[in-house]
Amino acid sequence: MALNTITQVKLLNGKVVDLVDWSDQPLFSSVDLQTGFTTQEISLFQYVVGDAVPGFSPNVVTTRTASDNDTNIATPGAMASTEEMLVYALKPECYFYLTDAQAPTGTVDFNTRTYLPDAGPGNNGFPIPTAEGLAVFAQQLILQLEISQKVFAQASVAYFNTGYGVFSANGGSNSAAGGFGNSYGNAGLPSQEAVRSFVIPHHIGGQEKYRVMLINPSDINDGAVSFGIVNSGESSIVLNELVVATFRILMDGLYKRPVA
Amino acid sequence: MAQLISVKLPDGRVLEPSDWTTSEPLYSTVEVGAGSFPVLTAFSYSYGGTVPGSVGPREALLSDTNLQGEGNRLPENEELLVYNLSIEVFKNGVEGDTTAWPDAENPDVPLPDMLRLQRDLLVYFKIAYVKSYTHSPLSYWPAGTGVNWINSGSISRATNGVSGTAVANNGGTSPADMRTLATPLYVAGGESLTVDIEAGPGQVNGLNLAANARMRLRILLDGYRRRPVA
Repeated sequence: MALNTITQVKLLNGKVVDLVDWSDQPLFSSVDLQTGFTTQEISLFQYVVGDAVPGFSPNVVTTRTASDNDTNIATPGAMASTEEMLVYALKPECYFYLTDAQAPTGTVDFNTRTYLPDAGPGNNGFPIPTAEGLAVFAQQLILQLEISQKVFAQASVAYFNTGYGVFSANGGSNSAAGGFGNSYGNAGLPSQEAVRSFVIPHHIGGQEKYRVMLINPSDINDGAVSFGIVNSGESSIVLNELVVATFRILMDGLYKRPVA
Repeated sequence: MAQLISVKLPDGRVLEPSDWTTSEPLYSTVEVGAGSFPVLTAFSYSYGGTVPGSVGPREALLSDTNLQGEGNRLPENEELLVYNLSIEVFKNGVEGDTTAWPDAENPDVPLPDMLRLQRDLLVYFKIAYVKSYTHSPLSYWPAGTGVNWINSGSISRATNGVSGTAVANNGGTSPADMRTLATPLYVAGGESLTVDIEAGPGQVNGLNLAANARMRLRILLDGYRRRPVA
């Protein structure tokens, strides 16, 4: 617990930010991905509650409507005039689901995503992501923060640890059908000590444009990000085309709240 | 939350890192296969160049490197203050001997192969062609990134469901696990920089890879970086 209260932050360009009416809280935004997607640039923080959550798939997509669970930003793509933020960390959360059985061909409806045991084979343990799936993201996806069209953070998605999540032990779990369970993973150690904390924070001023991007430049699998490596629910492990992942990416730091 | 205003180097120079970032490490990739190979030089190419050691060789993408310019040197409008080398390892392709150890799902690295890489690979960080600023094994530079595994005893697809496997990361997955230099290494704009990967025995002995399979080593130079101005 900190005994002192920060009242000012001096930025590297000499500007002094007075932390009146600021709070230590994140802004976040989500995106839905189906295994095998090939989209090369995915932008987050471009929508508000009530808009469509961006969804990407090898198939035609029916997107979800964003709820408070998906985003908490007030203005898409830019800070409102009453807002400012000092970004100290990027924290990508990842959750695995299955879509409906019609998904491999035709339209994929992200509204059908579920992790209930009766949703189909292979989702035993969802929404915990599989370790193999997270490793695919770690190799193939670059996470990038742009402020006023300039890159301020850029590295593998694995460089930016979530810093929290499920702290589990070896369960030796079996699926409901009696076969082997999945191997589960977390994006780094689920601890605040694992967070990649920026020594130099990134300032986003009022009305300034920004976006967080997931970039897929990879040569692997002809650019397809095939992360749906799960147990079949019986006695084999397969690339299940029904697997979807929801990334919820947090910009964590000091946030100047909109005044009511 | 304290703000860094200036950094004084051991030679007395003072850097004022306005317009610098600590969240955009410079990275470059080389690929290691089975059998003997020459010294593989990371940062010897830029985006669009060819990846040393790769099959083909293949063209470098943003997932391989974010170095701009012609390679082998830092662009004139950048500066770098390196506090960490961090090395991620990914396996692409299948094992050569299917009876030695249950194969892992790409891009996970089977535990014995990671140990072989850590044992036999040496890392040399060179600045301005003057000297090697590091000379240490791969294991000395933990990735500080990667998947925190929870092994449930699951079977693997790579073994066609016959068995499970055990995989390994190059060290811990947390930034706290990285090896931080007490005295950072400064690279000026336009100065040459390379990281050489060399196998002490001339190869990674026992590395269990098929002919066209590779271990991808992505080397991150982490610290303070002055970026190109837009």
